Amino acid sequence: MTLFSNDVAAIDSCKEIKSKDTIILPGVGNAYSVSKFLEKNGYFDEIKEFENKNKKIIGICLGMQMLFKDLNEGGNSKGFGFFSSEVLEISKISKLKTNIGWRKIKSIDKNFLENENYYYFCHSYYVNINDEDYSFLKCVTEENPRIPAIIQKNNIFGLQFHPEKSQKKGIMLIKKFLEF
Amino acid sequence: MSCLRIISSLLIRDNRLVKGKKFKNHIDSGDPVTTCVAYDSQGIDEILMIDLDSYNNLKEPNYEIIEKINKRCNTPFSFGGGIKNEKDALQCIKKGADKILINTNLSKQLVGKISNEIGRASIIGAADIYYDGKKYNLFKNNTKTNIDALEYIKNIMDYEIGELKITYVDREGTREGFDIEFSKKIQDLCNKPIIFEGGFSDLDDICKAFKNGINSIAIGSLVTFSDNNIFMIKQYLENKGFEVRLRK
Repeated sequence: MTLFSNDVAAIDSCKEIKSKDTIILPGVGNAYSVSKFLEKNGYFDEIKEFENKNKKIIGICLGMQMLFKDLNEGGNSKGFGFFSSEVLEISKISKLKTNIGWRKIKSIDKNFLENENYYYFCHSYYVNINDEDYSFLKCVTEENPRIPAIIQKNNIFGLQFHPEKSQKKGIMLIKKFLEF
Repeated sequence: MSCLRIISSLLIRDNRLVKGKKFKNHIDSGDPVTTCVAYDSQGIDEILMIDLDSYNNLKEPNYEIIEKINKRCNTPFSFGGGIKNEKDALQCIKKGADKILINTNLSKQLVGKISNEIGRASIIGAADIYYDGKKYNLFKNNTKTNIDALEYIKNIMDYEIGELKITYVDREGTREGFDIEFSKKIQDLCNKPIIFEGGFSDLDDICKAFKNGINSIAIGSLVTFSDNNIFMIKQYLENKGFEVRLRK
């Protein structure tokens, strides 16, 4: 997607993180492989340091799940631990083992999003929000089971769906979070 | 009821869109990139592209076309054709595909390896099936096999796939009507989302499928060779009381 191409660049090394204002952790991946890759290549420390400086982190899909403490896809692995909830298989709360398609999301935290819109979801694990994280939960899917869709704490944003693949409304949302 | 999913099913050969009937007699149907841009602007829910050139492992996946389309569209995009290993799959994702489709090469071992790289939610397991007059069988490698379709589907449900795609070979491109009864049987077997394709005749035929519990369909000829467009189809469905996502 070229919309932000002048300002956005993919990085090849964790050393590049320091010089950025915002980092986006994109989705699609296997939690275990991604966690091991990031750990091995020094991303954990760099990203935690980045967060300490209160710079902006936006996690998308698996990138959102990486913001949490414990992940389970492909075996137990650890996330950055900015939130304490566990990431579990979606089959624990749903008849279907994968949640794929456009789902309407609604704000729990009033006025976080002005309108209810559809966004594209594609995941087989979900965040099982615990009491400690509940106050950071901003939006959930409208239909049951209510899947945590947006979480936010200070400058950390997590989106379970793919705004970059959610057409016009998704782009508007990315802009909103970049300007937040 | 969750939001219904309307997927555009596109075939390419030599970087051009083609459309056939019953997997044969493909004719040119336009430019893949501009067509995807048009569907994107009409609010299609997803695009699924199969490359016939790489379909039988003759070439490697068409990464270039994935990249071109994803530079111009921000619509969920799945790609199939020529994916032989986890490296191919990962490369498709890196170029902008959200999911990859495996049909000819579908095996528990391969899917397991790919899932370790890209996660199972991004893997579509596909099965083409045909009716021989008595029973439904699997169609694979351009051949009518004697493998029972339901047995095969039951088996692949255990694979590390996120969803299933079923195509009715003998209805594909014919617009002779969708096979609701057999689709319901498949649906009863599965605990993953299923995309159905093949034979949708008109908008009422689509309504009938959705009324019977089908949630996701892929359409080809119905939009390629008729006056229908995605917005019109969705508007029609909404007027009939279905939950669809309209681009506003």
